[in-house]
Amino acid sequence: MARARRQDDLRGSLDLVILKTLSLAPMHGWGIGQRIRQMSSGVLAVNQGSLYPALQRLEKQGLIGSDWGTSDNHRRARYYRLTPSGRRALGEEIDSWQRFAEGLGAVLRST
Amino acid sequence: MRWAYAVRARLRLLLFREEVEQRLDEEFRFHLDMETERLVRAGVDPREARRRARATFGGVEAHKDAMRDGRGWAWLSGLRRDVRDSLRSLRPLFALLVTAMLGLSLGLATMAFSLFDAVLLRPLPYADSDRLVRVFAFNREAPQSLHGVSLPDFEDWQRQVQGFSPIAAWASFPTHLAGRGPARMVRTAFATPQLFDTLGVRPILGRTFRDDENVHGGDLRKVVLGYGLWQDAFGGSSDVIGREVRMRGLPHEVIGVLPPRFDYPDRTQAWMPLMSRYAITEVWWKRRDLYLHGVIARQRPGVTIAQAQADMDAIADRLAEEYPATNRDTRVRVRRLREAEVGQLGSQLSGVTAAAVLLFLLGCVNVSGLFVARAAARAQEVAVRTALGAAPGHLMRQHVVDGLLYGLLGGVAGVAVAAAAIPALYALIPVDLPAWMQFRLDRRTIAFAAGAGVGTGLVIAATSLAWHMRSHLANALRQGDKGGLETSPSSRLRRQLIVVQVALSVALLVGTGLTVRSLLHLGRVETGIRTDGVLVASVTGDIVPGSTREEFIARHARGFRQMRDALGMLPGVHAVTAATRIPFLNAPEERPVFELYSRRRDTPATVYRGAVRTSNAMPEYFAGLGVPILDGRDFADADTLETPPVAILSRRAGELLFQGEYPLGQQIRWGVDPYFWATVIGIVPNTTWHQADGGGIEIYFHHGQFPAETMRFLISTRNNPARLATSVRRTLESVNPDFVVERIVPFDRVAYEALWQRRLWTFLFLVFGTVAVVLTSAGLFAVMSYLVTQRTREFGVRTALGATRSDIVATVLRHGAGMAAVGTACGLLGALAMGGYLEALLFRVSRFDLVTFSSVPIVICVVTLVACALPAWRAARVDPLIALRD
Repeated sequence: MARARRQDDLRGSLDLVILKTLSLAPMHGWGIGQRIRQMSSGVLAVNQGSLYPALQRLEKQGLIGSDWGTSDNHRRARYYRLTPSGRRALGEEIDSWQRFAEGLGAVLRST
Repeated sequence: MRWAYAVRARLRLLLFREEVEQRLDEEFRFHLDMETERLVRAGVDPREARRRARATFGGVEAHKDAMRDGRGWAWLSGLRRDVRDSLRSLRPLFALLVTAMLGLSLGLATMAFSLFDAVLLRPLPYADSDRLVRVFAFNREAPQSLHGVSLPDFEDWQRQVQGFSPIAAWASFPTHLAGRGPARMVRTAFATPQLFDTLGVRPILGRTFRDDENVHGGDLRKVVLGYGLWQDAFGGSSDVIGREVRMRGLPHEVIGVLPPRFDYPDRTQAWMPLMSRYAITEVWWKRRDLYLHGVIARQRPGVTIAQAQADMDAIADRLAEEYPATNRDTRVRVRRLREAEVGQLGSQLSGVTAAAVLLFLLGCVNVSGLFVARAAARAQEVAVRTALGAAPGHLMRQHVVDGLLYGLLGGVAGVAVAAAAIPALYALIPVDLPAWMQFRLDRRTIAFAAGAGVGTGLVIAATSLAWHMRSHLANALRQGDKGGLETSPSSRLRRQLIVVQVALSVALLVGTGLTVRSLLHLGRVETGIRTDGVLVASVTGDIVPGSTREEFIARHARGFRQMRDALGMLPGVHAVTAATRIPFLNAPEERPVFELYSRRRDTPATVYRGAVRTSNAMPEYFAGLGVPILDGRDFADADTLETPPVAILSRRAGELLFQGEYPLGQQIRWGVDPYFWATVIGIVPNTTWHQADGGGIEIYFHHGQFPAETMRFLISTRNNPARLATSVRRTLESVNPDFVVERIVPFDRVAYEALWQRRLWTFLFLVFGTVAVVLTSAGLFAVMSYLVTQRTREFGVRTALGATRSDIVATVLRHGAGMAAVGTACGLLGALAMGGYLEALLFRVSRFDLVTFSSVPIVICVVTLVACALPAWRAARVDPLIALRD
């Protein structure tokens, strides 16, 4: 139940989280999952079943690009990076998310 | 930028499917390895770690599936499937048939386009060619005869004109180039220096001549070579600049070489300063009534043709006022360069191209008929697919893909047909075309074929779709449309397509009939000229600069006479004569308006202005043509420079000039002084100089008194004239090595070639008409066979009920005849309406020609009978038992 809830939390905002993660540095798929977990202090876990389709979707939208590189342990890995338009989209998404969160918070606090 | 990333990602997904899958595998494997490693580091047993990593990851295939969906452009990948399906359903015989029919009609249309494009469409190969114009003079009383311009007039134009810059004049003459090997004849334009700037051409070597090199009395012996001549005569060597070459018997300095494919005007091979032409004969260039020069000009930006024309009109008015004796009736006409160069050819070509378009449409309709037949055969498959939930959009797409595929196949076949037909077309053109008119299978032509292929594909798709719209799903599910012939949508559509094909064929056949009959008329024209057993040899001895007029006359009169005498001694030759212009060889449009003064003895001169044809002839010229002297006497060798000048007139010339008075002994003069009066000594019949020309005012002068640079020898022989060519050439070159011998060709060949354009158009119409008939009868045959198959059961029943075989045959024939009749009626109406396109191709045949319009239906009748015969026979042989059992 707890795991399912955590997944649900991410639905809809997974793209935003991925973009945010990639805004720091290019990263491969597994690393993105790990970093999301670390950044959220273990609260958010990414289902692999939605991570890779999400990455593909973002790539198709031109928000991220990918290249094959070498990982820390010297293995070939596919690194995703933010494109300039991805970076712009991230800024807009963060703004709108914050407005949404503030609005939601205000609603929740008022009760 | 974003779209660029997106497109790249999608294209990768679409095109590199395999690779993408592999990459996904690799990516997932990496993910699992990393997760396992992390768990192992956390102290989990490696095998357990692997298991847990797999478990959290979930099904690899499930992920891939999730990612496949909506990946890239789904519709595009569906398209890939459609193309694959189309290719899979490609039946070899059907495909071959479609490709052959489309290839034939589309290829012939492409061939016609390449010619049409070269002559009328593609820009002329000169800088800003749409601002180039030709400027002509004409006599107010003969506005149809545009002719050249006198040099003094041109110089006044050049000084006064506002709308043009630059403006240039030239006169073309053959000159004689001595080099390695035998002397050769070089088509030379004697031009003002501005010719090159006007056309925007830059030399690839050296320079062109300057204004100070075109001054009378200056050093005029400069020559600019055309690329072809440079290659042929000088091996393309780059140190040719500054070299001395012997032209016209004198050394000339080569100062430049022009780029390849530049040959204006009219296939010129070398260019010299205009004034060098007039180094001795100043009488020619100082006169305002000798219209010897072509003029080309470039409109200033923003100046319209109408403004330019008004500008020139004003100048013509001023000149008429200033020089009334010569310019009172001289007017000026400005015409666009292409229009002026193309002339009649353009409207003739439009007619042929219109026919090619009809043929192309016929091919489209024909093939569409095949597709409807196939669609009907596949109706059940389609119905099942629809019932099983295939989206209507998908079916539609399948049609479009199918049509485009075949259209493309047809386009490729069409390019192949055109590639073969274009050289064949050249073989039918006996003259050399100027560079700008040369047509070939170039990028534009191929693009046309591709466009026509795609267009065909869309027509095919549209017809197939139309069929689908009409056909009822349920109907098709129920065992097709075997019973109801009259109501079946597919056969109705196919019959409509046949009607269209018949109509198009009829229109084409009318065109074919009219052009063929025109050519037959041309062939029957009584020219009154004997061409068999005569060999024609053109010889040019050009003016040697620095010689006097008297020297020129003596040299040429004597030179040509020596040649004639030498030729007369050849075995097998029984008569030799010559003239400057002979029928068939010199086009009839070379007839500028000259003022001709006639003087009855002891009465004032009257002036005649109009189209006059002149030729300077040797004695026995008329005998050589087989034309009798009607009255008076022939020229004689005794007529020389020392004796009074003489002239011979055609009968019509005599009537017009002397208004019914007896012409012999009258005197005529060509223009004002210093020409001398010539006495009329003989009358000959009107001869036509060209089959399509009515004959008119012809005036012959004696070559010994009016020598010209070029003479055409007529050598009569009892043997095959072609066999004499070698010895004639050898004789001419040995008698006078300074004179250049051009083509030597039998006279009947000359007469034959004179009609080459007409013959070419007629040939094309015959080809188009034949292909149209073949396509239509094939289409008719296919539809009739299909109908007979569809009605097998009905015929069986009828036979069982007592119908005779002839009843059945009549039923089938009636069907075919019905379609043919409707099509023929439509086609004849169309031909009546569109006949205007053909006007330029016709000769003594009305565009409403009764013979043609009545024989075409007969042809269609025969074709219908032939196409229906086999299906009718099959219908008559239906065995009622078998038909009813099936």
